[in-house]
Amino acid sequence: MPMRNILVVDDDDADQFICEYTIRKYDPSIETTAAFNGREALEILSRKTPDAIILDINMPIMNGFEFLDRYAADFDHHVPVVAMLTSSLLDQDRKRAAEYYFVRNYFEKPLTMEHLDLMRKVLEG
Amino acid sequence: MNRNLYRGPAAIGIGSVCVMIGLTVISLWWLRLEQVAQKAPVILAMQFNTALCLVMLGLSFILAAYGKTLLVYALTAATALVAALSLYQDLSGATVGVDTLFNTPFVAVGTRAPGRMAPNTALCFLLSAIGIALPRIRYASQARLALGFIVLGIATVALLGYAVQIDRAHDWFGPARMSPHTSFGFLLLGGGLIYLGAGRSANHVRLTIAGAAILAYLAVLALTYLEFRAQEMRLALYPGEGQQTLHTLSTLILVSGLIYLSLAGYAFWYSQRYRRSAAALAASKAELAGIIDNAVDGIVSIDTGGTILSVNPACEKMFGYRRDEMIGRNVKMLMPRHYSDHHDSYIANYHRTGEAKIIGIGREMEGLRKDGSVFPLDLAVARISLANGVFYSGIVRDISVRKRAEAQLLEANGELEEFAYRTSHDLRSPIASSLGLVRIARDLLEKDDHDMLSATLRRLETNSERLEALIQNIIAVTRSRLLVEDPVRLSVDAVIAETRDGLSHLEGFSEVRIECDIEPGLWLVCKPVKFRMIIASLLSNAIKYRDPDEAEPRLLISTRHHSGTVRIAFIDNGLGIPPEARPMVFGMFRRFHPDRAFGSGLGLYILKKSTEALNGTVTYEALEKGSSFAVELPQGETDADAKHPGR
Repeated sequence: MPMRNILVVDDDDADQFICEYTIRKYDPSIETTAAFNGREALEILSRKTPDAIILDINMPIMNGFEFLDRYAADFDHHVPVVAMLTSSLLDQDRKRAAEYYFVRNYFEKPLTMEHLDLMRKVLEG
Repeated sequence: MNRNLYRGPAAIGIGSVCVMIGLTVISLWWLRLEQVAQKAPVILAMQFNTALCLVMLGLSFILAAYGKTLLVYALTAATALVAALSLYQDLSGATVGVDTLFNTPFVAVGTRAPGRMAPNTALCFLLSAIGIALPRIRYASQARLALGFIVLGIATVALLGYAVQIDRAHDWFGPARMSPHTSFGFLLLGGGLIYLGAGRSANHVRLTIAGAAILAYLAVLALTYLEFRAQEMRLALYPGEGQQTLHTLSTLILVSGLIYLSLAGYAFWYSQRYRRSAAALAASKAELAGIIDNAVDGIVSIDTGGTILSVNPACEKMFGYRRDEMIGRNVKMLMPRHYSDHHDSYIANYHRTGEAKIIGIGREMEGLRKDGSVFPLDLAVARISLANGVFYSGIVRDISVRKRAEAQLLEANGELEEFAYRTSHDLRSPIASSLGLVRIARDLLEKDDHDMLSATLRRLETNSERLEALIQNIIAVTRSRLLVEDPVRLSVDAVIAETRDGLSHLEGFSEVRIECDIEPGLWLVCKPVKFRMIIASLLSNAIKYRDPDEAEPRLLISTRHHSGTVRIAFIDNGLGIPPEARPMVFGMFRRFHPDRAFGSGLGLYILKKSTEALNGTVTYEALEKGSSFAVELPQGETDADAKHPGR
């Protein structure tokens, strides 16, 4: 399954910019959508399903974990690849994220081409 | 002479009996009743002088009880003089006329010269007089005891002599005799002196009297033995045994006397020992009771069925029941339901299996007070096995304070952990972004895309500024925790005006219409840095999070003041706080409008902590449009108010 569009969920403007730039550089054909918190992301997901989600943990209004809970509970079909992208170096965050079957990657910020490559490999099986 | 010692019925009683005996005999001498001399001559064996001296000493005893010191000295001196002169006559053989000075005797019974008191009587008078008149000097008590001891001894010997008919016991020299009623008088006087000399110690009285009795018995025993032996020699009993005179009877008397004496001595010693051990037992019981009654911890004992046998005052205080409300009832009354339901089975289980859940271990559980409140306690139970059965003794300690401190500590610790977690997270975040931005910048530089590069560098700059602001905020949290400052009197109006001036450079400040409804002259006493921080935080939030779509952004600052509390409210028509975020509005690292202004998410957390540090509260209320934050602080009082509360 090719990686055509990615939803980037991050409250930080700079991080959104970095993700967008890196993804465009990696493959200009990939479409990106930006959501600034979990609630916005859920709204977007209720309308369309991207191929992958890049998700920050620490966000206002609805943080990454709150989003994952709601997403797991309220949605029947899930995006095949959710990659956590966070500045958290803490093991407890990594373990908690791994509890969701659709969370396939756990990356440390900033996003790199290698990260995107890993995501693609997961997606292509 | 110690006046207090003579008080009491004993001294007056002794004195009165002596006076009565003496007066009776005096009247007989004066009345010169010949019939008495013929029918009961022994009554007149008490000479006139003897009767007179007995009356005087009896009176001294009574007068001393009433504190008539001078009279006591006069009477005892007169007695001593008569007695001394009598003795002098006996020893020297001279006659000074004291025998017939007050009365010419019409008969002479039991005396060497008409009217002369016997030497043992004279000696007893002399010693008793000294004993009564002894001033309050060192060793006066001991001297009085000793004098009483001698007098009592002499009188007892005389009386025993009458009882066993040994004349030597009362007749020291020739026919001079201490009459039985005189001996009785001295028995009282000697006993009285011992009683007084011993003060409050009943044991001394017992010891001295017992000693005197034993000595008197020994003396009489010796006299009897000597008398008997002399008789045996004279009569030469048991003839036919050769030259050797046998003393079987006298020796038997001596031996049986000594056996009796040692038995009596042993009985006395044993009774003394018993008395001492009983006293020691009582003392140790009292000591134990004192320890239990004054223990800080509650001490309760129950029987094997759980019935309360005893409780100490600490228990009464801890549980709110009186002692009599607890004793006899089941100990379950002191436990909340979820413990008491299992108590019977605990006890039964322990009896059956010997497996202890609490006995000898101790554990934390809960207690139930009379008023129904439940409190944490530490319980240690010991099994006590005595000859008359088994019981359990529990020591309970109220650990409410410790538990509260523990909970506070846990809360503080949790907060600190959260702070450390969030800080590490949020501090790393802008650095990670910067790293990403720098990589992009390098990429753009290679591509010579200068427009984009310049935009990226601007982002990098903003990012660094955010990091700087975040660090400033973290420092502010730490400072507000650690800052030590003294409260001062602050004008609320002035602080708000200063803060407005200080924040006037803030973007959007001029757009917000600020209205103030501040009680004129309102003041409060609190820590200035924290108070200013609170006001600045509320004011800047209202400006930063104004609603840009609002035609007229407004902020109303109002104050209210009642019963020692100052309430300052900030009401705006700004963006407000999203409903789902309201429950954790004062949490750490909570940002509600990331797209509006960069915040560390610490502002309201710092606000709350600062308010709590001033013993105040902060509340948030969502409005239909905008927010209302209200800070309530104790007004405090100035020194001047404290000294003149009426002003």
